Amino acid sequence: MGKRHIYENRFHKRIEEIRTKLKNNYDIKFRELEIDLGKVCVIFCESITDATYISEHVIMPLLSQQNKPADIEAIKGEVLNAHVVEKVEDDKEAILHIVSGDILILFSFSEEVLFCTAKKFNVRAIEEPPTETVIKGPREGFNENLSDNISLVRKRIKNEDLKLERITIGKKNNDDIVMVYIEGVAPQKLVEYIRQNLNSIDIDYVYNANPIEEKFKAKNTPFDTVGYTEKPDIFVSKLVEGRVGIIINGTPFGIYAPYFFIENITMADDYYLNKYKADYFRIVRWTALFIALLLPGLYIAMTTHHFGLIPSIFVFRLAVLRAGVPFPTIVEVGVMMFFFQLLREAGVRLPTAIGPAISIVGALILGDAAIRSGLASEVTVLVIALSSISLFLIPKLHGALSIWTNILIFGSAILGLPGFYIAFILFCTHLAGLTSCGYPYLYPLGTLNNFSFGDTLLRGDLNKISNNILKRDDSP
Amino acid sequence: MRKALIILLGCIIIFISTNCSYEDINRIMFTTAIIIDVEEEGDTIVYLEVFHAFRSNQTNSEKGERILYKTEGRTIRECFISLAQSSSQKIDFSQNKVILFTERVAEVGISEYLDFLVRDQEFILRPYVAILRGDPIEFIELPIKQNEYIGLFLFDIFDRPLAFLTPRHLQIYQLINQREMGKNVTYITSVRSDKNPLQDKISKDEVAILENDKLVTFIEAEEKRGMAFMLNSANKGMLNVPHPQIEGNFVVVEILSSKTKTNVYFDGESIQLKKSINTRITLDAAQGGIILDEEIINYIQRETEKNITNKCHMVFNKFKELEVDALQVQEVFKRRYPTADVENAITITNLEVETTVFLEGSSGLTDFNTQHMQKGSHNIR
Repeated sequence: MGKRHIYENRFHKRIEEIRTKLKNNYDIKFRELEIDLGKVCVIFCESITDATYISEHVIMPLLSQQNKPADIEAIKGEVLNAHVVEKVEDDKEAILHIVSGDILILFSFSEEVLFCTAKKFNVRAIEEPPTETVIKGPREGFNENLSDNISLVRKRIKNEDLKLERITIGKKNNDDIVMVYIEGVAPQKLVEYIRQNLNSIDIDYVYNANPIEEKFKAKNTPFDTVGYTEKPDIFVSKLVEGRVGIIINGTPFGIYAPYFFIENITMADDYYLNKYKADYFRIVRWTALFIALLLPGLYIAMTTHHFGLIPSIFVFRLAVLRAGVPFPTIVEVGVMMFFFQLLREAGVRLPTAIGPAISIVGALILGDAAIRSGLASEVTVLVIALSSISLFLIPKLHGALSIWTNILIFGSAILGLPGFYIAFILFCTHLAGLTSCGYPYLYPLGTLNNFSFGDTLLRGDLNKISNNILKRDDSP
Repeated sequence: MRKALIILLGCIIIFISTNCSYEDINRIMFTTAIIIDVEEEGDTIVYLEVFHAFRSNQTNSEKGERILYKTEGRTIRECFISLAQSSSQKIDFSQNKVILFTERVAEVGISEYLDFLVRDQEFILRPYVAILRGDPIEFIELPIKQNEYIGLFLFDIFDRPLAFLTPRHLQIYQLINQREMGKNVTYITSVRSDKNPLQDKISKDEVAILENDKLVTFIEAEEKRGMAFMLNSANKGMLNVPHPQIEGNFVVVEILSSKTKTNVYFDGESIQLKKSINTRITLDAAQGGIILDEEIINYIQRETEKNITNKCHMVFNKFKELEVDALQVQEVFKRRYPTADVENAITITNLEVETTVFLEGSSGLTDFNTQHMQKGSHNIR
């Protein structure tokens, strides 16, 4: 049996094997061509490849009468116009290339198998991120395409020290993620820690950021100890401060670590607006944090245990307003909290066009109806509404603060102010006990002397706070 | 599993053992004033002014109303137990603003009642204390237009910064402190209902002096002024001095601030009590007008000093005669001479008052460039 015959048999066998492995996939196409040297089969996945590109840069050159390649090397070097033409090492890799959007080329006159890159995924345009709108800052946001996201980062950092390390995770999915950091700015230990953890992720399929986030998040806490953003300008600012970022294919969020509690309070606009204006609104947000967390608990404690701490006129007013409510205050508060959670959830789940309208109408109608029906008093509705609205000012803390608000309410209902204080101290100790990649989560509160953070309760001058904040390299 | 059970058990124990203090604000009646009286046989009578919130089924609306209670018992404790038994809701004392002892109670002695009010956990130490002269029922039913609640009204007038020359109104914790100092002589503001053709009112012109928790005497307005200077509580007020230019008329001066420093010297036989009073005044009014110059200003200052000194001597002499240490001489003396054995310091005390008065007037600034002050330029007509 001649060599050519062996190659031909192997050619057909390979095609058959691929057909078997990728059966029941309507978008896998096999295009067989007849050229001077013999048969060629071009295999590709129609839904994720660029058909025009394949026709113009692969099929047309192969079929062209002008090209008379002498061997496979000539085909690689002289015939194929594709920008990436490389050799496939084994059958497993061949399948992987097809499902990844590459073109696989088999030859009946050669043992070699080639692939060309012709990926074409449908991607969303770069739009303004809906979760992080700004008044004055850039409108660009990440999309689900890794290359687009990386280009948005590269556009902002033109520095040789910017490193983008590609790591493949997901045992069966082979997803690409990119670890981004600035060498010399990000602490080496931190980079190493994140690299090791990324490499140790043992999941079959990774198609969103959460499995990676959870690898770095502190356990048993509702607080996020890994940051995320849809805005490339924020992502870049974090890299400049010395954090390590991760961009995942298929998700519009860039994640970064370490992430600190006070970052929940800061907003992108803080850095784009006048410093004093920004500081004023930052104080408003800090106040909102305490209102959201403490007000319902304080209300319960004062109106069920410590009447003496309320001015007489207000005590009498409260008593009259509650005179028609048949339920205990704790039940009243619990019911109203639940109503507001329902409204919020409805507002989030409904389409954007009608969501806000439903929320506002629902809040007005529900609040009014609850008062009229004797289910709640005006002051309770006011307290819960104020607490809920305050939560909207710090959206990243919504879930965690809601849980802790309930804990404070429970403590206050049982023990009054002592219960309130106990629950608040528990809250503080919980926060103080958290770490983000080895850095204290409450940083720089309480560790101000150890680090060079110029952006705490109030914003410092921008030229001072943009430096590396992780000065002390004590990451794991 | 065991850990979870222990935590659950702990939570249940805490919940059960502490939940008793949970009270909804609308299921409570709040007292605003307590009047304590005593019968001739010695039984205690307690009058309460209470705020009660309820939902009216007639008008289908929430309301707050004022309820007056009267209860009798052999002890004050019995009175409150009796009240609690006949009340549909718990009576809370956290909003109580004032505790009034009737004159009869003050004569018998307030110590028995004070002990209960201080010892009982439900009472707070914030309410003002006063001695009520006259009939308690008439007083509690007095219609006051400024406030429906006598307790809140009294709180407002007691809690206002003092604008008159009077000793400060005492809250119950201050009274308790004062009882422990010196000779257990306390002064408590006295109130009474004042029938008026236009509108009934509450007056608080007098101060009751109690020794060993029993009433000794009441002092009148003039004596109150001297007492205010002696006790360093003369912050604001008015004084009259004879008009320097029109005979029979008066000039009214307003006290802007006053500070009294006390020193005491003991030579083994007698005590020298020195009061240094520094007062800033301003001209408030002059009957018939006044032309001010350096001499007139000096005259007003001298007359005011004389006035203050006389008032101090007057009140001191009264208490020295009564041998009642209402001016806290014993306390001052004991702090300075803790080892000296003197039973009642005021009886061997001589008073020396050194008063300095400074009359402030409108600015004499006439030229902003030179900041030149023209002397004697106060010219009021």
